[in-house]
Amino acid sequence: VLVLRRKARRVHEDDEHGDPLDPAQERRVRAVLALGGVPQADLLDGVQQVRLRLLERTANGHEAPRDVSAWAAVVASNLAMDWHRSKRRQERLGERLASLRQPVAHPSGEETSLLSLAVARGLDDLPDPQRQVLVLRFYADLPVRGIAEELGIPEGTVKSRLHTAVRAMRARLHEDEVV
Amino acid sequence: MAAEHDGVDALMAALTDDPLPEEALVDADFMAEHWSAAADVALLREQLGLIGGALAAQERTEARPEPVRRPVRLPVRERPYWRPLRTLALGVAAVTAAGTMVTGSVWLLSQAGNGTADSATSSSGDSAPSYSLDPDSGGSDVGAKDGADTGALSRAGYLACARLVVEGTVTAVDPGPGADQDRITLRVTRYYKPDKGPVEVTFVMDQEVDPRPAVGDHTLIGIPTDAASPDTWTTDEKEIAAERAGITAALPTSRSLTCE
Repeated sequence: VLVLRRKARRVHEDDEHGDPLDPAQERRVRAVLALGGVPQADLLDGVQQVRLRLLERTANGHEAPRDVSAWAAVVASNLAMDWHRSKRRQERLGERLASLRQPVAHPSGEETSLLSLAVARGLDDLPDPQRQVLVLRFYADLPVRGIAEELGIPEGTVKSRLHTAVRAMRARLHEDEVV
Repeated sequence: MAAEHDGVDALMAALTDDPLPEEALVDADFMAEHWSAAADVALLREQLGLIGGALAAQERTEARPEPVRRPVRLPVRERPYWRPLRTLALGVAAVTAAGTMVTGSVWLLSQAGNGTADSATSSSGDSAPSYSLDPDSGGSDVGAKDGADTGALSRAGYLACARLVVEGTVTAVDPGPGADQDRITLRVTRYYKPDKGPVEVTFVMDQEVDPRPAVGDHTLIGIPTDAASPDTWTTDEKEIAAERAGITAALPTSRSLTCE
């Protein structure tokens, strides 16, 4: 434990709380988990898992990731994938979004809420591997090459999954006439 | 068929932000498609940010975790069941939209899936990774290469949820049942899962896969249990060799996993 703690502090020595994830990174991890379909009730565990993996990484003698935010986003996306594999069910983003007391904040109001719901439902219907690369590319803003390297798959695979996913999302949004 | 240049269509260009070929810039149809795609991609990016932000903020006030002063505050024994076991490095590829047409080829694959999966074809296990079903073992990261410890899916987990994993040579590429689809016939040279099956298998793939299958390609493919098309496809010999070793090492463990 002591070793883990000491090395964790080395990751972010400027973090007075000793938390390897800063608040922005934590929000990002929560968002990636949520967009990946991990239920709200499990988000906390998911974030803790990401922290734990970061700490274990340093405890195992590896250097801190060059980009902790990107690394954490990929770990979170993989946690979501494995969560699906184990549970074979997912919390529907569309339903969760619709149940939010505060609508998705955007200046354009109701129309955007409908659009957000349509996007969320589109995400719900994507196969997990496609949803993963879509979230990493367009939420976490990782480049195609970076996604391929982190996931250990060829760039062509990432491109193919992205292409298929976005094509399906576009078709859905145009059919729903929300764009 | 969408306009494309140098094998890149308008949507792909919008997805990757790669520079457009010069000839594409003077192709009005291509550019119109590209602008439309780029606008939709920008909208999608914005919406993911809004949705992710809204969901991440939900219950944050009451659910904010304590800073990790004790990194193992989450005891190993209590690690969630969905903790990834190990990196999936399946060199991969083609994904077809869910709901692909069920064809006779699928029947063939279904028959192949009925083969016994208990007897191993593994011929090498010298690089067997430390897979573990026991979350207490803490061995999930053992041996993970640096840079790949982001916890990708385990090979064993992938294999457990795959109904067909084979190597073979593409012998035919015919028009598929849907637009922009190919029907691929593969002469199998090695079965991984199941351990045996017909000499040839046939399946449908999107034409957008990269690389697009061609007759004579040596390839390794994987098809999930709930899919009619491969989500794994590689023709790179180095990747195939690496995956061959990983798959044969992971097969025994995969048999003790269930894909619910």
